[in-house]
Amino acid sequence: MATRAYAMPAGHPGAFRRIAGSGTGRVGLVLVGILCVIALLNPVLAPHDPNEQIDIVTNRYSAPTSNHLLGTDKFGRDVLSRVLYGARISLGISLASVALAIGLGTLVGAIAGYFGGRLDAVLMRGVDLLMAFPRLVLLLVLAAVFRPSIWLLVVVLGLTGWMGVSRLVRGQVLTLREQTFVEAGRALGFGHGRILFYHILPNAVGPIIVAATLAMADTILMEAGLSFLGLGVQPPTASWGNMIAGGRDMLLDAWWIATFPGLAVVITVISFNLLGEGLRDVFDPRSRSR
Amino acid sequence: MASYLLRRILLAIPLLLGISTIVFVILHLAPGDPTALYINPDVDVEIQDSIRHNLGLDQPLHLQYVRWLGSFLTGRFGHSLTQHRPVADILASALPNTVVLSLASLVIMFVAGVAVGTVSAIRRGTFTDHTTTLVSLFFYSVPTFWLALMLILLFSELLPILPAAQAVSVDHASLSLWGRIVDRFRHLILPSLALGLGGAAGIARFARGSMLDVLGQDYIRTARAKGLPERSVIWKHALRNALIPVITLLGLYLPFLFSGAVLVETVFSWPGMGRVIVTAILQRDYPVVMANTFLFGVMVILGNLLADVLYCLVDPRIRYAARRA
Repeated sequence: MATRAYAMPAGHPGAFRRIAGSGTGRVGLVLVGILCVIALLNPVLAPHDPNEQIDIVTNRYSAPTSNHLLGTDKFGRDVLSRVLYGARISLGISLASVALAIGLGTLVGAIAGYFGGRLDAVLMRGVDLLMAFPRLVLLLVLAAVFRPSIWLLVVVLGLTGWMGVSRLVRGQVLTLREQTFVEAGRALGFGHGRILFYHILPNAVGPIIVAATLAMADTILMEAGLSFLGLGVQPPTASWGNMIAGGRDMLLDAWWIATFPGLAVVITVISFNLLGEGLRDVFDPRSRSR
Repeated sequence: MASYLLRRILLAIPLLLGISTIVFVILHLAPGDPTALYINPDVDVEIQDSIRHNLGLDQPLHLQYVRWLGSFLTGRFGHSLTQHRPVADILASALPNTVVLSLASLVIMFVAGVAVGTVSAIRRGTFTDHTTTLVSLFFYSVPTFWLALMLILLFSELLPILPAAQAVSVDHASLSLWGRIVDRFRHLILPSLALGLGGAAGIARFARGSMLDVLGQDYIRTARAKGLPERSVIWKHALRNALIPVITLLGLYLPFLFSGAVLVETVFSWPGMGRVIVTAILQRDYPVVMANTFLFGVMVILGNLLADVLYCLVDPRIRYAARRA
C-alpha cells in the first residue's frame, strides 16, 4: 500500500459541513442529535416516572392509550417513559465503553505499528486470539464472574471491543510512519512519544472517528443482548434489553412491551450506522462512489 | 496449495493453545470458590475438602492448568457441577444442533445476501436499489433476539404456522421418517431466519459494493463490446469475480454468528451450545462454561481455516502466490 490520500490534519476546516452535506451523514447526524437530546432531557420529556407503578391492579398490561402512548408493562409502568429513560442508560454505557475500547485499541495498535518487530508480532497474535471468541461469549463469561453493575458492564464492553480498532490503527501507523514528516521529526531529535502522539496519530483521527461511530452501533446491540440475558443492566433500572426480556412472557397479549424498546434499539443503531457511513464518505473519499 | 494449507493448519495450533489459556485465566480470576454454591455449609469440613479434592480444586494453579490442557487434548472436559454427567456428553448433544442452526443461517446469509446485493448493483440508482438498501439497513441494525421475538409473534402467535420453540416436536419420535425430516425443517425456519437475516443484510451491502467495483472493470466493457448477452456478462464474468471477496466474509462473520446464536438459541429454547453456556453461566457451572467457550473458539478457528481453503479454491491467484512463497 502506498501513501494514503487522507493525511489531513485533525479538526480539518469544513469537516462538519461536509458531514452535513452527505445524504446519509446528514440523516445520521440529525438522528444522533435527537437521541442525545432525549437522553439528556429525559426527566422533562418522559410523561411518567420510569419506575412508577401507577396502581398495578388496574393499570398493568394496559394497551397504548392517550395517557400511556406505548402502553404499560406487567408492573403498570409506562413503557414510553421507560423507553426514553433507556436511551440514557444505553447511550451512556455505550459511550463510556466505546471511549475505553478506542483508547485501548489506539494505544495497542499505535505501539504495535510504530515499534514493529517482535512487539508487534506478540501484540497482534494476542489480538488474533481474542478475536477468535464470539464477543458475546466473552462478555457472558466476564459478566458472570463478577457481580453485575453498570460500571462492570462498561469495563467488560470496553475490554471486549478494542481489538478491531487496534488492527485499524496499526495499519494506519504502519503507512504513516514511513512519511517524510515523521522522518523530519526524527531528524529534529523528537522522542518516540512525541512523534507517535503529536505527529502520527492526529493523522489517523479520521478513520478512528469512523470506527468509534460504528462501534457505538455494535456496543448498543451487545449491551441490549447482555441485558436481555439478565447479565447486563439489572431491573428495575430500565434498559432496552431487559425491557424486551420483560415482555417475553406476554408476547401476544401485551406485544407493546417487547416491541417498542426493540424499535428504539433499531432506530438508535441505524442512526449510528448512518452517521458512521457519512463520516467515512468524508474521511475516505475513495469509498464515496458507492 | 497443499503447503499453503499445511502452514495455515500449523498456525492454528498456537491459536488453539492460546484460546484455551485465555479461557483458563478468565475463569480462575473469578473471586470465590466455585463449590460454595453446591456444598451445604453444614457439611463436615473434611467432606467439603474431599469434594474439592475430587474436583482438583485443591491443586496449585499450574497443575490445574496442565490438567485443563490435557483435558482439551483428550476431549474429556470433566464433570458438570450441576447436571452430574460428563461435560463432553453435554457438548456432544449440543454441538450438532448449533452446527445445524449455524449452517442454515450461513446459507440464508450468503444466498439471500449475494442475490439482493447483485440485483441492487445491477439496478443501481433505481427504486429497487433504494428500497433494498433501506431494508438491508434495517436488518443490519436489528438486534437478533428482538427479531427472533418478532418472528415468533408474527409467524407463531398471530399466524400459528410455525413452531416457536425446541428443535423437534414433542411427538417427534412417533413420526415417520419423512415426517421427522419435515418436523426438523419446520423448527429450523424461524431460528435460522432470526440468526441469518442480519448477516444477509451485511453481505448484501458488501456484495453490492463488490459487484459495482467489478462492473466498472475493463474486462466487463470488453465482454459487452464483443456482443455477449448481458445475462452471460453478469453471471459468468461479473458475479464470479465479485464473489471472491465475499468469501472472506465467511471467516469474519463466524464470531458474530455465534454471538447471535447464543441469543437466538435462548429465545427459541434451541438445545444448542448457546443455551448450554447461558444456563451454565447462570448456575456457575464452570467446567461447562470453560469447555463451551473453548469449543466456540475452536469452531471460529476451524471456520476461518475453511474460509481460507475456499478462497484458495476459488481464486487461483492465491494459489500461485502461495506456491511462490
